[in-house]
Amino acid sequence: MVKNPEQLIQERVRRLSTTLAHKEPDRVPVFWGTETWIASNAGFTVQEMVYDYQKMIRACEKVIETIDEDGYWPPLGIWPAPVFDAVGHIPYQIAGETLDSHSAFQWVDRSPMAPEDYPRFIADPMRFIFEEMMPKRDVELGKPWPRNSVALAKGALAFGMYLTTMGGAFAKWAQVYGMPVLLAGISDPPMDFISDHYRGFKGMLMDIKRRPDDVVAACEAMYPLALRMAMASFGGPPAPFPWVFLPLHIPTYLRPKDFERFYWPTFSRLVNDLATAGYNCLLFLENDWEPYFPYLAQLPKGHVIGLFEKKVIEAKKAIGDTICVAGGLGCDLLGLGTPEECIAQAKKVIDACAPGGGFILSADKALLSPHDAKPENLIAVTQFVKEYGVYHG
Amino acid sequence: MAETETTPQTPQEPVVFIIPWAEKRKEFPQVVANEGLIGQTWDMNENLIFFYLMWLGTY
Repeated sequence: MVKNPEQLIQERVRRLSTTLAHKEPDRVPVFWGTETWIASNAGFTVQEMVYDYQKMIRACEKVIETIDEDGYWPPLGIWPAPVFDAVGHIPYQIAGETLDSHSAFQWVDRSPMAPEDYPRFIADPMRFIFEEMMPKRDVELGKPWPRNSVALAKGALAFGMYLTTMGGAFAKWAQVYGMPVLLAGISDPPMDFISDHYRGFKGMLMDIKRRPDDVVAACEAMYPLALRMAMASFGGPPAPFPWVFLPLHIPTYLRPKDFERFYWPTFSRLVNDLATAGYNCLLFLENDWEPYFPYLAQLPKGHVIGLFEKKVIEAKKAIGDTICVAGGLGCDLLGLGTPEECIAQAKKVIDACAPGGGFILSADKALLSPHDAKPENLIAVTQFVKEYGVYHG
Repeated sequence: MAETETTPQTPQEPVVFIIPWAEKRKEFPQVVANEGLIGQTWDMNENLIFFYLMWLGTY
């Protein structure tokens, strides 16, 4: 029987929500984090998509129409370039400018905030970010009034048009395809905010040795902004679905005892406070998180999906009672392997992780470059999961 | 009794604005916006302003 879009979206959301609740749904859910990979898949460059949102939407729809996942990972990594142009943004390198037109965004590690700036950051982080960091990170915002105000207004208009356009696309995908968008809302744990955007990776790794108390105080000061960022970007009242996206960057470069002191307090509070408010979070866990499993096990059960780049099977075994585990298919295999090899890996992970629910099959990270996956591999594995991943309870 | 003035509702051709964002990007320099899109963008609530500024200030 052919299902209509409303039936499909209810079925997909129920499947995802049931497995997040650590129960067995009708079958294992599957999604792929198709980010800038969608450009080459649709015959566009990344440069075209970041300026022409209709091309980006067409590229998304090609994935929705051909791969038929259980939820669509919105292109969060495809930032609207007109906003960056309006304000003269420095941190990101954009496809077609200093990069090849097919390249994903690149990030250069910089330290616009000096170590001596910590007291001013801690005293009033919002004022410090808006008045001191933004003029350093955005050339046009550093110019005298009225140029800076005009640039900010142009950026706001461009930002609003981007959100409005994509919001319309999300609604269309639900109505036409019955395809739910997986993520709404984005934030970073406070230490990642400070390290990624102000002190830089190298700067932060020195700061935890030279100014540990400042780092702790800065994370505490940043916390209210990180929480509000998650809620403000969600775009509506709290809801358990879609999920709030929290990409985690610096933890696996910290020793566990440094993680516990600097990262964990405000990170765990962020996840707990969001859960209490009615949100669920998807954590992107880059690199090897095994040393931090005992911490993740303390996060609120039934509210967190962990997308593991490595050791998915170990994660399910160790902390699968608390965290809904996602992952299992590496981009190296998806990009270089055959459909048969990808299916064999999917079978192995499903056999190990599916029992009891709390497992979603996915790539081990967002798909960025054209070589991160062959379309036929994604199609073959998705079809395989629909047949092999059925629960018989 | 004063006459009530009404504005006749006549269909209008959609106006398309072509905004040249950056001269240097000759190949893809334009964002096409229509009145509806600008209208929806015009009223930014406090949450959206915060999101915009934080997005600029952090990403």
